[in-house]
Parts: sequence; C-alpha cells; structure tokens
Amino acid sequence: MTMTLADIMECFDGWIPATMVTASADGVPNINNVSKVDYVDPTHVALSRQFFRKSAKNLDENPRAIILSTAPSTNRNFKLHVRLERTETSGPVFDQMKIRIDAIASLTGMEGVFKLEAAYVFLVESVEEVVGALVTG
Amino acid sequence: MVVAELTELHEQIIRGGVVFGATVNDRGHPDITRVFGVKVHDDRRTLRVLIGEAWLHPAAENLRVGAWFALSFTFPPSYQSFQAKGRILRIEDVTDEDRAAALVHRDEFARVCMTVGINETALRYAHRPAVAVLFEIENLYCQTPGPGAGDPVGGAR
Repeated sequence: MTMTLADIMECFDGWIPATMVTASADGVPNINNVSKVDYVDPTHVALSRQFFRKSAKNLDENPRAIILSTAPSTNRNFKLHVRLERTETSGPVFDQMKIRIDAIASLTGMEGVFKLEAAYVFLVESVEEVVGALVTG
Repeated sequence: MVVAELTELHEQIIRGGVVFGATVNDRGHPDITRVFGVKVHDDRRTLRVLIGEAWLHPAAENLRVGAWFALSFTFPPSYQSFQAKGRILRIEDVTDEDRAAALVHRDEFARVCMTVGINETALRYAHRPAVAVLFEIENLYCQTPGPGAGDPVGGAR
C-alpha cells in the first residue's frame, strides 16, 4: 500500500524529534537530529536550517535525503525519501518556523543562538513504514 | 588515518541513548537504521554495531567493506549528541553475546525514553539483531544542538 503524508500527520506535531540523513558527493553519510518536521502540503515537508553545517554542504552536493519520523502514539517508524526542492528565507513557511524558533529561544534564554537561517522545503518522493520495527501483540 | 576515539561519556550515551546508523548506496541515496546495541572495543575506536532485520532494507545493500558508516548517539534528557564516522571493516553474523547486549540496550533505551515522556511502547521495539557491522572511527563530532554542533571532538579532522 502506498503511504502519503496524510497517513502520518501525527508525526508532524513535534513531540518526538526526527532524524535526517544526507550524503556527500563522495558517499559519506551525515546524521542530523531534527526537532520538528513541518508539513507544507500533500507532497512537501520543511525543515528549519539552524545548525546544519555538514547537512547544508551535503544538500548542496546531493539533494537526496531521508528523514526518519516516529508517530508519538504508537512509536511506528516512517522513512520519508525526500529531495531538496528549494530554500526559503521569507514567506509563510519561513515565517511560521521563525515564530516558533524565536519563542523557543526566548523561553530558553537562547536569543541570538537559536536563529533560523532558512527553511528547507523538500519534495517527498515516497513514505515507507519500517515494517517489523515494533513487536506486535 | 584514525584520529578519534570515544571517551567514557560517549560510551555511557551509546549504552542507553538513541542510536542511529547511516549508510549510502552507490547511487548516492542515504539510508538510516535504528541501532540496538553497540560494543565498544578496547581501543575505543572500533565499534561493533548491531542492526535488526527490520532496518536492513535497503541498508543491507549498502553494507560493504570499505564503505562509509555513520553512527549518531544522543542522550534525550540532556540533548547531548555525538556522531562517529568511519569505514566498515567487516560484516558478521550475530552471536548469543550480541543478542544479550541488544536486549540490555533495548531495556535501557526504553527506560531513558520514559524519563522524557515517551510512552511505554518504546519497549516494543524489535531489538533482536540480524547483523553486526564493525567499523573504525575516523572522525568524531559534537552534535548537541547549538552553535558547536558539527565541531570535531578529540582531534578529529
């Protein structure tokens, strides 16, 4: 069965951090923890670019990435196979992220440290559950 | 050139933290695996990483001697996080000792998850390993969120 983002909406509430893997042009993987994956539309998600030094370099070289997201109510694991489509520094996706990150920075006394650089908008090529990751019953 | 090795702090996080492995296929597609159990060898540079059956698709095709492997380990209560990278030395069948280590890690992982409010279904992760990947750390990085994320640790380049 083909899955869509609509099937995993609870993954986007930010309760369980996600994890992204990118790859350099010469095949070195890089793992990055992601505090929240933003749902943009039925075929796109967005991530905030804050401390993505290596991931940003990798995405410049190779736009393919994979995001592992976990459903908080069930711990089911989903792989989002994505391709970087664009980087935004203004507009509704960026603005919504900025409001959230500024609020977190303010609450934690990290103004000027937690700073949104850009919003990465990814095309989601497929969504796949990791079958067998959990013991059933 | 091997230039980085783990410390006791890293080993503590690996024992019960959230641990992920990453590979890349020959077409440049990355993949991710959850890891339940890592044995740190005495040299603190060679790691035996246990991967379960559910996570071997499509990672299995990427597991080749000489290919790059990345391992991230995070302690959720403190957000401390690190990443080790190196090349795969060997891929081996799992042993009874591996299976026991994976069970210990699964329980510790679940305990840590519950301290930060993740529900008890974390205990339901299928922890039984299917393959052991040995790799040697070449680079070690801080991944704790903040401006130091990505900085090399312990002499890594």
